[in-house]
Amino acid sequence: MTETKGKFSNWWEKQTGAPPKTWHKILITVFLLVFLFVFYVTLDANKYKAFVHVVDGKSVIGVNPTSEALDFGDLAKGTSAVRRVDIKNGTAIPMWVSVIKTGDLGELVSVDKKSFVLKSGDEEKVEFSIYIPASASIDSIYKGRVYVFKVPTFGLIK
Amino acid sequence: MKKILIVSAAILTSVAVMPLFAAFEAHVINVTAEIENALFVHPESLRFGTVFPQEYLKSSFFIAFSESFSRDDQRRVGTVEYVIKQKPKPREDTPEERTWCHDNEPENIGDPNDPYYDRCYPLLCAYLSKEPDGTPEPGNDTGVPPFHDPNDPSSWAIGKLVKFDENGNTIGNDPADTWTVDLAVPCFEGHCAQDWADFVHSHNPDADPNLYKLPNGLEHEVFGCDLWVEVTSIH
Repeated sequence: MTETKGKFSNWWEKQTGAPPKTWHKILITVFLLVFLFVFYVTLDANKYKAFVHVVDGKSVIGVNPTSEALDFGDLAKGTSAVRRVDIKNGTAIPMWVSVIKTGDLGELVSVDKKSFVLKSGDEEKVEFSIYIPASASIDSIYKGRVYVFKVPTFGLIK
Repeated sequence: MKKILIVSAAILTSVAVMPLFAAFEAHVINVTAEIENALFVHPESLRFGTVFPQEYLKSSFFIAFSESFSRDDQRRVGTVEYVIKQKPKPREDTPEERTWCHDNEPENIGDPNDPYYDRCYPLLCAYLSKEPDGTPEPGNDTGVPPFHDPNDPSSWAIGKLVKFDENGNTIGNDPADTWTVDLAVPCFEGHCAQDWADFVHSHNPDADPNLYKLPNGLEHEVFGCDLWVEVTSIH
């Protein structure tokens, strides 16, 4: 361990021309902890593919209710659909949940709760609603991704 | 030699920590987010235009498996069961307005100036029937006649789409349903024809004709109803 510290000090001295000070070490440790925290939150986020297929016709609906993706199915112009994601907090600490959508589909989909605090043991449903406007192109597939980030609040956010 | 020992120790530590991390992930950081099987779909508006009491008008919508569900490699789910629910229709079709119309009701149902009607249409749902297509014979869907209580779950039409049966067999499958939505136009209190009761009973023998007369004040108003296809089960 001492040798490792020595190597780090030597490397630091080579790079900067002076040995690392205590506040340097504290700053680097804090940076590493923050990096690991962000890395974990990103890794732990739920990532879903989301798509909808716009079809020709009046009041035509094609459904795919399977849970592999946020698949809104085949929808004609003027139709709408809602899919839900069920989020449960089984931990002892509250979580701040943030929902982010990207891609072409992101512009068509609205989310009823973009961010909220989920208390310990609580459960919440997030609704994703899509409406196919008259301007949508027939036979095109609008794709996107939905990310659900869960960040431990440690009681800091209420 | 020292390097080999250090590397071996690092590998062993990683191997030992991995199951601990997995346990931590599974039990301690136990926050789950799952996509529900449920799906709610709202067909495009069916417009009946200007209608007259005791007219009987037909419209329809078509529901099928989507292209992605119909692909050969989708073998996990073969049957989708759904219900067709009826809900108050907002004048501005946004999720917020929809929720508001569903959660509220007019204080005076017969008063066209009731604040509820500023945001939601007077309710047409009781007068809409949902008739299944009857295929495959003898039919696996359950319809609803007009003149019913739209809030009663027994008034929800029930449908079933079948891609393949429990043996993976596609013979007798039912990949699409066409629902006929009929409007049996009601009359207004004090202005009903003598054969109003016969008209009601011809479409729904169990209905009480007196319950389905509309208040006079709503004459000339535009009525509406949202039909929602809600997937209830997949297997």
